[in-house]
Amino acid sequence: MSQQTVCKLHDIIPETGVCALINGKQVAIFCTKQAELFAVDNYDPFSQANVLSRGLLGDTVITDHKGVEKAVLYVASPIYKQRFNLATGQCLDDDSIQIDTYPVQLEGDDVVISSPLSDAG
Amino acid sequence: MSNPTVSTSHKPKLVVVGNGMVGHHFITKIIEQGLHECFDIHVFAEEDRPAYDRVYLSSYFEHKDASKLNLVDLATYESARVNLHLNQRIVDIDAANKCITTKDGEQIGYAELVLATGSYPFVPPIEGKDHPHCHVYRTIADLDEILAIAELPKVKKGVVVGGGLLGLEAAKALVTLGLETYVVEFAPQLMGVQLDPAGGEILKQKIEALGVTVLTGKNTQQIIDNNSVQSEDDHYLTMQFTDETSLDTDMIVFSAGIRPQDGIVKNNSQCGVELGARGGILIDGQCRTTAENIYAIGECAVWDNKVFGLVAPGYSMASICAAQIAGDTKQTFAGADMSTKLKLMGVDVGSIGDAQGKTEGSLSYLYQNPKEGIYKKLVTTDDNKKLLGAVLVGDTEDYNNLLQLYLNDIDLPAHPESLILPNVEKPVMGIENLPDTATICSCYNVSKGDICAAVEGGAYSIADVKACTSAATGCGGCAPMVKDTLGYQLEALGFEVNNDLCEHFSYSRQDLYSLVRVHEIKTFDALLTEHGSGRGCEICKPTVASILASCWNDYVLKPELAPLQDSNDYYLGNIQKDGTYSVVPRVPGGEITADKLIVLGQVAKDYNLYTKITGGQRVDLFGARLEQLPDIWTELVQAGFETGHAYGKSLRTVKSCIGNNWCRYGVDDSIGLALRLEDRYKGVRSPHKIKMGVSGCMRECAEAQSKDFGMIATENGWNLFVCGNGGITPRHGELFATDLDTETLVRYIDRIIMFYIKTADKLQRTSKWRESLEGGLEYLQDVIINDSLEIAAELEAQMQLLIDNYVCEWKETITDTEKLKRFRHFVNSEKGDDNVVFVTEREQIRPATEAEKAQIKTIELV
Ligand code: SRM
Ligand SMILES: Cc1cc2nc3c(=O)[nH]c(=O)nc-3n(C[C@H](O)[C@H](O)[C@H](O)COP(=O)(O)OP(=O)(O)OC[C@H]3O[C@@H](n4cnc5c(N)ncnc54)[C@H](O)[C@@H]3O)c2cc1C
Ligand code: SF4
Ligand code: FES
Repeated sequence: MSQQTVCKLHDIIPETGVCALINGKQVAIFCTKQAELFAVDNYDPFSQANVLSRGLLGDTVITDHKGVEKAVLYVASPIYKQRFNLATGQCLDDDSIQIDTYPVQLEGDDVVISSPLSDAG
Repeated sequence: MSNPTVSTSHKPKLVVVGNGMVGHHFITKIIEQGLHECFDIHVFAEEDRPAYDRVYLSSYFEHKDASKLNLVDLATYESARVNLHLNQRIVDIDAANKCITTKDGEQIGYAELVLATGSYPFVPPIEGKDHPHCHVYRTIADLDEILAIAELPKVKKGVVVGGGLLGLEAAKALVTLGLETYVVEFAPQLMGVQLDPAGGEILKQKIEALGVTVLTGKNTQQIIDNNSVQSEDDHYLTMQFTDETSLDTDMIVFSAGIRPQDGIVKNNSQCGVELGARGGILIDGQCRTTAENIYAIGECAVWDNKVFGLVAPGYSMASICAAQIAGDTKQTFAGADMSTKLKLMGVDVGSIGDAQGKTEGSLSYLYQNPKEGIYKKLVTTDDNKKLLGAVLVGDTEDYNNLLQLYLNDIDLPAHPESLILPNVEKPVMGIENLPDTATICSCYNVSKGDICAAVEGGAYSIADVKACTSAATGCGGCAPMVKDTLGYQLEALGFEVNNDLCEHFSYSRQDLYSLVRVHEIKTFDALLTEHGSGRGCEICKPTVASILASCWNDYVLKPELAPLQDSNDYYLGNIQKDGTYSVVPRVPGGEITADKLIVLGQVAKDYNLYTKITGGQRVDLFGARLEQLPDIWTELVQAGFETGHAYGKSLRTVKSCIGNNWCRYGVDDSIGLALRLEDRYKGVRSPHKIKMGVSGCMRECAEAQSKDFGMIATENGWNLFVCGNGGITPRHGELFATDLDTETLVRYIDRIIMFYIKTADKLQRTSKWRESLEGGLEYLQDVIINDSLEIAAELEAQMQLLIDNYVCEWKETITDTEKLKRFRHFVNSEKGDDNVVFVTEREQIRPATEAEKAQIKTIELV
């Protein structure tokens, strides 16, 4: 598990995303107004393009498998608009698709990502 | 009811025998046509209650409330003076003297006679079949008897004889009554009419898994009465089969098929009404029997050697017969589709057309999943082009799709098997692909065209559509498609199915626009806090961004507005399939100098962009990477180009012909007007994009009449056309005003655009907006030309504000280092996206396909 400082908090306009190159892999990092951070794959499996960091953020209420309703934050791909749960990577429009998520946190003013990817990438 | 022979009326008599589902439907049609004014109507019914819904008969075991099945509104019958004689079986017809006889011996004359006697359950001639514990399954009275027996304390076991549709439904009923249930079928498989043997076998396994024992290939020889039941383990009856095996049971329900109820005719060979070779009353396409003034409809009728055991064809016959009596001979019965989909004891079963693959040369495609109990079969023509039939067991999701392919004779996709395979993207028969004649509801023979017409006539909800067309009020199988058709048509009419913008705002776009204006709201957050909930989404964010821009025309990339913009607006370019962007500089009216053309060419060359002349008279440069956009635009802005807003919901282009400067026919300067209009309205954000066209004469080389605003020069000024559209649903612009001078023209356009911004729904082009305006074109003319709402001055002022606040978004962006930061692919690296790969075709780049990318990678490795 490697730790990497990606950028400063103010490098991300609140409620938008940026794309970071982590050990050769493209990771989309989003920041909310409350400075909550999320990191998921930048690769959109539907359009096969590296674009998710450029998607719009949204929230919706979903019912989980236990029938409990909860609000989830998602990013909608800019190409064909499929939505991905930012916390889990689960696609909200296609049960069979899930993208990877990565632990990301704020250390001081630094956005730090812990990536399980080896340095060999 | 009064003595039927005594009638005070002098009108001719219309007599109906049978008040079942079809007989009743016939009466409603008669009333609809107003024929009750011309006839004295008498209905004779053998049962002791008015018509009820036999299709839902089994639900009686759950609610035991006969009124829930009732179909007849007696008040309607009464006000149409329909005399309903219950409990009055008709026993004889005298066609020569035009009269019928009731079971009580009374005779009634008729002018027109309609036989709607339905059918009766066939009970095989087995010794012992008349035992009080043996029943049939057709009427509410039958069900009451079954209930009474099932409630006897020692009755534990029940057998259904017959493994067809109705037999399995009866078996479900016995399970509901708590009996240990058996199905005994003579044929080697279940549902032999609808399914092939393999489908029948899967169905059998599924039903057995539910605790019902299925015995196929069993011929009952005798039913033995065990007289008295001595102990707990004894049963009332024993069924003796021809293979020498036997089965004990406490009751038997026969469901071994139906026979047309032709008793009144059969018993009287002189009556003049002929029967089919296998029974049933012969009719022609107009539902006429062989005797004059006698008709037959529903399950008692035989048409083209066929009896139809479903309610839908009966309803068609009822309509045709009523039309026939009203003198309309055009409608004819042309058979009916017997495809069925149903849930039998929780098992989904569907059967379409030639399920058995009996057509000569037909091909069959199979999918079988024994683990999940799914079986699907397609039967196609020998050339693979058309669907002949299908069997679906365990999963009927594909039913409606397949049925439409079958009914409308639509060409199959290249690999028909993809239609039934799991996890394969299926070519879905969307409503939009169906012809207007496609049947959506087969119970009531309602076509796509009928539903669309009803919606156009004001039926905006499922309930209204049901009431207007009867669609989805029979078996209900078509309900999802009816809903889709409603949605499709509402959308075509420019409606939002639910006008709430999204889950975050329970307001329409128009409402939000007013809120923003009235409360002078300048940010998304303020609007969300005061009038919405949650955090917003990809629907409300861009819509609100567009409204804010339409109201205040602030620079779209202000930090608080930026997160609202769709990728296109955010990066000021149109995103392409591979994540690159297109660059479309404004070329007003299509007029461009050689120098500027050279700049476009040079930029394209320097950055290796694909170039194309667009349909909007300008040049599109494709394949720009995110990080290249600022440099490209810096060069373009320096050369005097502005953004073309190809990414925005705003004015696109004002297309123009060459006009009177050059053209020998031109009567005015079309290019001049185009430049003025494009300059005036560029950047104005609206509910959807706006396009304009200007032609210098009526030859119309600029195709102005297909634009949102079209101007055509006349000897005396400009003719203004409005609300035209190319695109998905083309619409000709309508002539709004003639011979306008340029100032008036511009004033009118100012007002119309602002009025459109104020009142249109999200993503509604002017064409759909115009169609949604109550009062139509005249109303719009009244508002704009006569200022009937007294808002013209306000509209003009609001437009002026937008024009005054115009900035070229690219010009603004390239001078702001903060904003340029977002045009990087990586926040932590200067590299570009290595997944963007181009190949060359026709001397220009295009995105590589996945296969090409893989090939390029291997070459690199080598
Ligand atoms: C480039 C161009 C095709 C071309 O190479 O000629 C084009 C390209 C696109 N059109 Fe178009 N349309 C282009 C002229 C047209 C025309 C012809 C015209 O304007 O004379 C039409 C029909 C006329 C009309 O709009 O009434 C047209 C009807 C559409 C529609 C359907 C609109 C409708 O009302 O039904 C869409 C979809 C939409 O807007 O929702 C669309 C959408 C698009 C999008 C934005 C699709 C997308 O989201 O990626 C394409 C963006 C290309 C890009 O990245 O720049 N495009 N599109 C044309 C650009 C004209 C320009 O210079 O701005
Ligand atoms: C359990 C069950 C489930 C069904 N499910 C479906 C389904 O899902 N889909 C579908 O399309 N169809 C279904 N059907 C079939 C459907 O009910 C019939 O197609 C429909 O009822 C036919 O209408 P009808 O008016 O021709 O006959 P009926 O409804 O049988 O009406 C005939 C009436 O005429 C009366 N009559 C007969 N002879 C005389 C006489 N001599 N004098 C006076 N009256 C007389 C009878 O008593 C009866 O009331 C089902 C039937 C049953 C029993
Ligand atoms: S017609 Fe379709 S594919 Fe062609 S440019 Fe327009 S939107 Fe794109
Ligand atoms: S198909 Fe049966 S209700 Fe429409």
